[in-house]
Amino acid sequence: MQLDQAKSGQSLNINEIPSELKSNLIRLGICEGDRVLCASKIPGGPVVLQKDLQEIAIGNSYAKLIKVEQCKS
Amino acid sequence: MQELKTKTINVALVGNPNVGKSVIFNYLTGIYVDVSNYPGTTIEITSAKINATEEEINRYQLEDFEIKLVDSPGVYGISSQNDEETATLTCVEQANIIINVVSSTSLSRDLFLTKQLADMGKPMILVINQCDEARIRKVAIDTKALSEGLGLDIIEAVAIKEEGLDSLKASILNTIHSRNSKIAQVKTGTLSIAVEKEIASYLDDCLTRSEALLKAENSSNEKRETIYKIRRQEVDELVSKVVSQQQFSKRTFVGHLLLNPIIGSITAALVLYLFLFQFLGVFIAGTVVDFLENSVLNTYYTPFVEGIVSQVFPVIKDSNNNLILEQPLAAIGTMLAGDYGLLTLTPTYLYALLMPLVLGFYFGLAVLEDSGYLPRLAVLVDGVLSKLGMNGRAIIPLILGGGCVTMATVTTRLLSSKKEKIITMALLGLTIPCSAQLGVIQGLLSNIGGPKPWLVWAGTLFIVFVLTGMLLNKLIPGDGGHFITDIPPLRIPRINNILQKTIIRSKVFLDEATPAFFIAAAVVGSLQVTGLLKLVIKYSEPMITEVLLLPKEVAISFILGMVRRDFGAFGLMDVPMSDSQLVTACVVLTLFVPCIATVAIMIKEQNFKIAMAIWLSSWFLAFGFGALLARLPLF
Repeated sequence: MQLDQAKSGQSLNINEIPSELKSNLIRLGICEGDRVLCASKIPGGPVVLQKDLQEIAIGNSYAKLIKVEQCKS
Repeated sequence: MQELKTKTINVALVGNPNVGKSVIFNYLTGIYVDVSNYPGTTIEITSAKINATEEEINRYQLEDFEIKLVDSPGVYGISSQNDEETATLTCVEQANIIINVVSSTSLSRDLFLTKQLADMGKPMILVINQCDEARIRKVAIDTKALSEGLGLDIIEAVAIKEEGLDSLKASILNTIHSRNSKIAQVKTGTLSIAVEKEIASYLDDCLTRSEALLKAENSSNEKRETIYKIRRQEVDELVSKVVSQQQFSKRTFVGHLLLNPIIGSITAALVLYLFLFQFLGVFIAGTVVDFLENSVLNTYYTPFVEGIVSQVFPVIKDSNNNLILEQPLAAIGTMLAGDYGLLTLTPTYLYALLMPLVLGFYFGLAVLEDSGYLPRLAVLVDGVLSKLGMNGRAIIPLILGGGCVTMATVTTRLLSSKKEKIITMALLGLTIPCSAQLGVIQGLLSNIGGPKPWLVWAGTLFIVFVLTGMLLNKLIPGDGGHFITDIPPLRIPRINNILQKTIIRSKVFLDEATPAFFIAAAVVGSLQVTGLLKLVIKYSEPMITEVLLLPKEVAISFILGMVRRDFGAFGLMDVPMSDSQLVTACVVLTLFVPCIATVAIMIKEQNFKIAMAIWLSSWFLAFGFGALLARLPLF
């Protein structure tokens, strides 16, 4: 599924990041294959991802481009 | 005689946004730079000398050296992706020694930059700052292993409490000493073998390692991704080795609540209500201003000055006649202590009204900034702002506009796309009142009393804001930029930093506003005593009385408002008006043209055409909505 469909509290596996976003997100600490927590989802707005102690908000338009998979923890 | 030779050693402070570079700069140089808890505070590069004591100069043999510390804008990496990165790159290239500052709470993010810097092969010291936050969050960092892994000396610090900064200074001086004397090895960080392979072919053509590295990174998207990925893996491996089990703390919990759509929105509404209405509107504009104006200045100062002036010159009030020709002496008296008196109204306005409001605004803003609330607000409003052609980042200039629209217009350069820059700029110029204006308006509205006039005023602005945003979003092609932001941890603001920031920002504002106000008072005063004011009022009267149904004296406010937004309120205080008229006047004044300084910045940041379009449309908006409001039976 796309990241914008994630729900708060879900544990996600990042499957695919479009190349225009890749280097930007790698710097912030997120790359393909990472496991992250969806800390919050604002309806019509950003998804907040948590990896370790870090939180990163990704706007809706970008979140649509990122493919994720819910992992069973 | 001994030859004096001073060599400059450049030391650059480099790090991610919001890790405490500016606090460290502040400590080492004694020079204050604006510090706040949101990314992108340092736009301009600040540099200053590090002063070494006599003893230090002897110990490290620094007689012939001048040490210059450079504070660079916070970046997540260096590859000229935006203005900040380009600026930081320049700092790094010119530096002899790099101090890389990272935060204990976001090592996996911050060390990415550390690795990139290490690959450049310059002498470097790593500072792990905000160590107290790691302790609170029960994060343990094995600094010895980290130091070995990176091949760098590590200083642990809590910069805001000045912990560890003395050892940082010693370490910097020692590095300079080792570098100069070539006795000891200077640590430059372990080079990554994998990255080395990637850049090997570029090394021969380039003068420096950093140049080769950047050339390799920028050669193609694939190459950059490969290098970034290697770096990311190395960092993640290292972090998993040196950082122990991480737990959630209460503050993370509160941080999450603020990002919850429902709780977050309620909190945001509450914060804005408390800050803008209760604190600025009721407390500052009401209680404090009333006290200063009526109980202090109008009781002691004004009558005293009027007494002195009127002993020498006659003072004539409420007169718009040409006094210069009729009574030259009275003209002087009236300019000094009359309706727009340079010695009476101007100081009252500046110190009883403007100063408390500016202080109040910057104080509130500092609290919001330092607590880390603003990025959370940006996340909450991103969805809404994206409907208006902007994104969450735009909330920062929009809120800063409540302090000074001109300064806020400068910060639109932090935004990424041209579309969002133009829309944010237009909304700032059209709908956001600056603190001085906000002050007078809050003062006027609190005279009526109750939340209703305030709601009508704020509601109208909100409607204009949303409509303008939607319209511009349709008209301007392209998209409003995408939103990716790092959310800093919530912090309990440090009172010293807040007070320092409040005072410095207010001082900058008032230093500029004070002479401008005296000039404005002199201009209006001379218009009055030459009888020109009467003419101005006469010709603009139909616009004011017919269209807006306001008393004709208000005309002068609008004319002044074109020069500086806050002057607009200058004459408004003393004109008797009905409740409905007051609210209309406040709305029109807010919507009316941005001041000359703002227009100049708009032209500089965008172009003349855009600035003029914003300026002219504010006429239509102000008079259109004013006329409408004046005819609505709200009061």
